[in-house]
Amino acid sequence: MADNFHDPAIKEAAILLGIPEDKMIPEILSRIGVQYQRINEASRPKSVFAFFDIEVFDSGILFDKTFSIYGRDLADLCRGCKKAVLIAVTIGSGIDMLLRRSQAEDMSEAVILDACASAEIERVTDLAESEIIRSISPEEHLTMRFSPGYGDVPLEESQKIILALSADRRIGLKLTGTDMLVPMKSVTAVIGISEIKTGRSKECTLCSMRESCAYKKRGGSCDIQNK
Amino acid sequence: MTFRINENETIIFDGAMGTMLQKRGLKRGEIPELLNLTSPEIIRSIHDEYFDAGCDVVSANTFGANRYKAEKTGRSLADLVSSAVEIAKKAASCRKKKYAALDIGPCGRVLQPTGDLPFEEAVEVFSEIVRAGSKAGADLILLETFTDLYELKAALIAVKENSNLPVLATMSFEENGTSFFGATVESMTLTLQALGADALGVNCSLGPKQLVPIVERLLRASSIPVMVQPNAGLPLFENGEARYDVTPEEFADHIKKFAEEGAVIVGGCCGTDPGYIRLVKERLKGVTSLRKRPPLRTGVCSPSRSVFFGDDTVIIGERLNPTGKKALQAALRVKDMDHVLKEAIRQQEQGAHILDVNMGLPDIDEPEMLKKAVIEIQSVVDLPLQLDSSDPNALEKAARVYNGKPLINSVNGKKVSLQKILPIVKKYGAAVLGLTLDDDGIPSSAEGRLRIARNIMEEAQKIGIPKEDVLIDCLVMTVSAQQEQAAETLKAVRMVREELGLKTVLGVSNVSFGLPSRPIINRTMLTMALMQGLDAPIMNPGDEGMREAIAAFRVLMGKDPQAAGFIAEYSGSYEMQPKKEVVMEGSFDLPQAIKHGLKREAEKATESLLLKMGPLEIIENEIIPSLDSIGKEYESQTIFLPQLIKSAEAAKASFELLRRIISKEGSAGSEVRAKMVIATVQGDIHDIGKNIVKVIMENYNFRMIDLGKDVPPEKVVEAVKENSAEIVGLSALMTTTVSSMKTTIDLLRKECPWVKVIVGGAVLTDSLAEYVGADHYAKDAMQAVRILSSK
Repeated sequence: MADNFHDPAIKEAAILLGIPEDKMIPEILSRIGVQYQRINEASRPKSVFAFFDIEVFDSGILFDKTFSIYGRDLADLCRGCKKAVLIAVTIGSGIDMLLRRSQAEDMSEAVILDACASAEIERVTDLAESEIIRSISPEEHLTMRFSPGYGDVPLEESQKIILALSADRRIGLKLTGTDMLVPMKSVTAVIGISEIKTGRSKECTLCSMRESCAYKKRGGSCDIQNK
Repeated sequence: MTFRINENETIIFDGAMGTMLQKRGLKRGEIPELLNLTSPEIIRSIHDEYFDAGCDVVSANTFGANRYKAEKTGRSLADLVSSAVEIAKKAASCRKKKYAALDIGPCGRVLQPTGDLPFEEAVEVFSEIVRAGSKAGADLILLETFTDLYELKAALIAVKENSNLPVLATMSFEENGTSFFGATVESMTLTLQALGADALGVNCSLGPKQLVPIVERLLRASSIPVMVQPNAGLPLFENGEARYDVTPEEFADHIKKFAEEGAVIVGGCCGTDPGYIRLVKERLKGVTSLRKRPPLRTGVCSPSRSVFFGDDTVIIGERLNPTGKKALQAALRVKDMDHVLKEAIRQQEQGAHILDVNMGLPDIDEPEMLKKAVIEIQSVVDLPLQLDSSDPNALEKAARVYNGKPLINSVNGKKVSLQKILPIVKKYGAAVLGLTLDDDGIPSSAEGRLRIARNIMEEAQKIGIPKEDVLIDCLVMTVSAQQEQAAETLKAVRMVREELGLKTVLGVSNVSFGLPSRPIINRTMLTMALMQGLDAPIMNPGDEGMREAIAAFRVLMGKDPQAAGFIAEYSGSYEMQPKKEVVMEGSFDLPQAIKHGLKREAEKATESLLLKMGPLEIIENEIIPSLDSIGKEYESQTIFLPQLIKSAEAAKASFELLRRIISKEGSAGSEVRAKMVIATVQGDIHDIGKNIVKVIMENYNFRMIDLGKDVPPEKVVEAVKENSAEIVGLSALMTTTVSSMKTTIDLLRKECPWVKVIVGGAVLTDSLAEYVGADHYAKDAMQAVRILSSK
């Protein structure tokens, strides 16, 4: 097996392509390496986050007594939390053009490129999350990262996260009329801050991708510990 | 008193509105424009403070007012805008020489193709604001904080179409001098100048210190007044609240420097308040700018790439033109853009700097096709485009939706051409290529062509197109028919350059029609033309001889320092054979070539099989079984998606070759399984899944009609009827667009009851497929093939 399979980002891309470790062949692995390089060159990672005082209700969470994000699943996750972080991350609009161009060039490489871009936004979001962990006190713990679209939290709640963080002006993140993030490879999420150590593992039952998830197909999950 | 920009007098704008409103208790998430109606006295007091601090212009509280925001307030857009302008206007009119600007920011949505907002809707959104604001009496219009040059173009067109007010336009940049959407300072400058902005510049984004290099670039690039409105430094976020790190003193010092260097309009953005503006006013006393505006340069651009004529040879790629290209013609007839996009990418890789785009075919709707081509090419290639048509309507449609500053090809000396084309060039901020022919035809002398060139230049200038935006094509004639004409063309190139100072373009390869070994004549003609001062040949960038001629010319004329470019490209090339495709050891039979995804090998194997059997036999006995076994390997996870697609594409190469033969022989075999319309539904902009299905299905010999992404239900119905399609494939990624899938299927059931609908996409399941009323759900491309092949 080629060396770069130990690179977690490459491994993530392979998983997103549905290729298990024992079936990976050097040819595909090296193609992933080439496409990941293109992503690295075009990626302009940016993230913003901010802490908020929250009140948890049955149907959602009230932030700083000014705006709410709805969803019982989110409320369940943050039960007992007094604070939460909102986070928005993107790897930039240059990736969107690269993905379109690649599909016009060669679909076979484009699917690899797309998987690499997804792996990259995940990696960048994980990095931002580590920064959050560094900035909270040792007594505080983060819940799992919960994005609009998971569970019963409507996609349109992304708008509130973008507004609260001025993510439009600060990192160029916007929504389409149907609440899809633009640039395409971007993330918005809520993370609860709890004084009790909670299960950080991402729960498939809440996930909007559970039917089509590449990890789940292999019997795993996207959670960091299970990768 | 009308607002005017006087080069010798710095105009001071106000500082932030949002910062002031937050100080007065505006909470996060509240809509600031509502205050125009609910608490006008607050807005008025802010304007008064800024005027008292010494600014000349205040921006009305309309930055975020647009139809989408208005919907959330329950108030009409016109009310939000006109109340704001009236408040600002009242504050201004009780003072001397003070003005109120209608302030327009980005609309919050993203334009196609990155987002889902159609260009024309964006123009409408901004037009509403402009109409309300100018009716309410604004003195000028400020377009600010844009990060997408395309959206800014839509806004500027809306201003020009709906008012006569002066308009200033600024964008927000990152430290590297590009915007979030990849627009550069130079591209912004080229585009806004040509579209007729009265001033341009930078605002927001960064503090004054970080803006220094960006302002320098602006002052070097812009031939119109420059405007600068920095933030009060970089924001530090504490509990979600922004604080800025630059004091009013530092801020004012920087502004003074900008003014000395040549910024004519200054002000503040986020974090600034009347305290900052007061100091700016003080510091600017007695300051005069030493700047001499740089002369206009001849240039065109896409958002991220500017190409200037004159410094170095510019290659204009000629391959996107259906004339004489059968495959491209066939693709355009079925509205298939894949071919066009591939050719665009190839020419960029071969070194083209600009791409000529011509979609002229007698039996297609050229205006629509040119517009579509421009949008699609710009979504994958960042080169500037040359819009090529003899139909003014096509040129207008394409120039309107073009992102950046295009080159229009062409106008000529005929009266009707000048009358029709030049206003399009002016309105849409283009450069134009003038052909030296007029109502009497092409003059045989160089002097005659010079006369026409001069006439075109003067007619352009009359309507406000600067001569720098006029390029001339002195027209190459076929030397086998008119041998003396080559010399006249060359002479005309020199005369146009020397006597008119215009840049020249030439389609070189016509010269050799009717002669053997045309490349010899072509490249020699090119070298001779370059010596006369030709700036930009229109040519096939893949033509080795022409490329060699340019490379040698650049070395000999000192345009390739230390011959570095030449050495990199050509060292060793005369010892080696021309580059060949890497060929695998041994030869492959067709099933092997398909299995390994080798296109060339698949074609070769198909050719040798054709010696033994007919095309239909090859399909049935060789291709289909190979594809089936590959499909099985994919399903059993022996191979994976990238390999499946590669095999499918190899099979496609073979299919295409066979199809050509079948259509030549006219044999009746039903070589296509079925026609299928495929689309990502309205509202959904994620289409890679749909594209995978398309590639795989094509290679199982389905005829695919691809409508792209974000497709309205009516378009699907229209395509099904037009093509008599038997199957429709719909894809949706998100829960929010599943309803759009249902609407599409409902309409299909009503309008095209015969059609079978298959759906797929990340959120879909069997039960959702049933809910939306589909006939089938396929979890991936292979399953779609299985379902549709067995039906």
